[in-house]
Amino acid sequence: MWWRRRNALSVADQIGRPDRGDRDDRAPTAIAALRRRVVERLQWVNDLTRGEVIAAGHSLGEIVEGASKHIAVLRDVLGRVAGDDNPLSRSIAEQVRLVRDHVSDMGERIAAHDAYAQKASARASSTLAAAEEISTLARHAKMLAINARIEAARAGEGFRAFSVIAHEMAKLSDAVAVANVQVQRLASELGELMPVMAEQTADLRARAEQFAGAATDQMKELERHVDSMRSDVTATAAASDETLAKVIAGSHAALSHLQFQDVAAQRVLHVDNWLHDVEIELRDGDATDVTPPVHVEEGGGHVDDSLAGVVQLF
Amino acid sequence: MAKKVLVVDDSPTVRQQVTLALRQAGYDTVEACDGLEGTKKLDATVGMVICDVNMPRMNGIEMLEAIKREGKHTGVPVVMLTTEGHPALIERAKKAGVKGWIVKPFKADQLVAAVAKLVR
Repeated sequence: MWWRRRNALSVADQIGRPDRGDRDDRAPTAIAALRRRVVERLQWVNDLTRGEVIAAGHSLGEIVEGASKHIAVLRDVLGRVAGDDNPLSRSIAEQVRLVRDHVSDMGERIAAHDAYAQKASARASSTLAAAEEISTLARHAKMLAINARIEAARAGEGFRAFSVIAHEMAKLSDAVAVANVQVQRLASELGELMPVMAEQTADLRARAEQFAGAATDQMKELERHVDSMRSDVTATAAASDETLAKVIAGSHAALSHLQFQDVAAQRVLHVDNWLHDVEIELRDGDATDVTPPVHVEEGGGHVDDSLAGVVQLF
Repeated sequence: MAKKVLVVDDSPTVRQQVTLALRQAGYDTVEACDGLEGTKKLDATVGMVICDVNMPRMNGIEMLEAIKREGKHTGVPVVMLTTEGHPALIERAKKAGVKGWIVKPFKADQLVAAVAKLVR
């Protein structure tokens, strides 16, 4: 390590490899100077890097926070679009229900109309039959009136009033016959209209069924599109979650790297502590060994690199 | 309400990194720059302490021992987060009631997992 090689040379050069028991005041002074230099260098490196590391940490935090907020908004929107209770699905379901209700209502109305038309057709037929009956009765009444007039004329002046009544009856039966002809004509016309009306009703029913079929197909198509969109949205939400997980994992990895600034500083401090111990020993005059302890040689202080990142729970 | 973790470290960068990792995981945090400030900020709302060992004024082990001595918050789990790994130091901390030992540089997901396991 750079610091070990450099420090080892500096120590050897500056303390002049003192023999055991040979007290040299220059050695602790040199060590103290060396320590000051180490601490100054550490301070310089620390000042230089700490601000950057903190800024990098802030940036990481902002990235993760921004991504998290963005994903949260996205998930909210996607949830509203893709959820079972979203406005679009509700609106489509409502429209489907309305169309089905209208088609059903229309079918019922057409059936009712058809039933009325058939009843009207039957009534028209009955009216024609009744008109035939009335026509027969009118003819009989007229014959009866004619006979009555003949009989009244034969009976003489005393039955003149009876002849007048017979005449009026004949006129009445003529009027009934004329009115009956009109009734027959109207009933006949009504009878002719009924098949046309039935045909139109059938056509209307066929169109309604066609519309209902088309509407159902369209609604099913719409539902398929919504399902497809929901599936896409769900996939997008999953992809967003995956992206966020990657952002967080990346930020965690970056955080691990950022810690090395602090870890490095701690290790240099361990070297400083060791130099401090050496300085004290030299001042006290019982410096028997100025070789760095093994843990300093290996990694700077009590740090064991193989333990880095190890988590022990008790 | 998010569970709160007290982060005690003299390094602002480590405090920031621990805080960032924990906040990402949904925890609330409060920071202290050494053991003395840590003992002052430890209250009933704190669910766990993450503490460095080497700190000025009062180090992590001393803080742990002070918490044990004071007896008010002994139920709050304390985990050491340090570059130190000396077995004697770990033993001393265990005697003082430490619940975990994490060696820096830590991995954020492992730290979060440890917190999830211990936090109250």
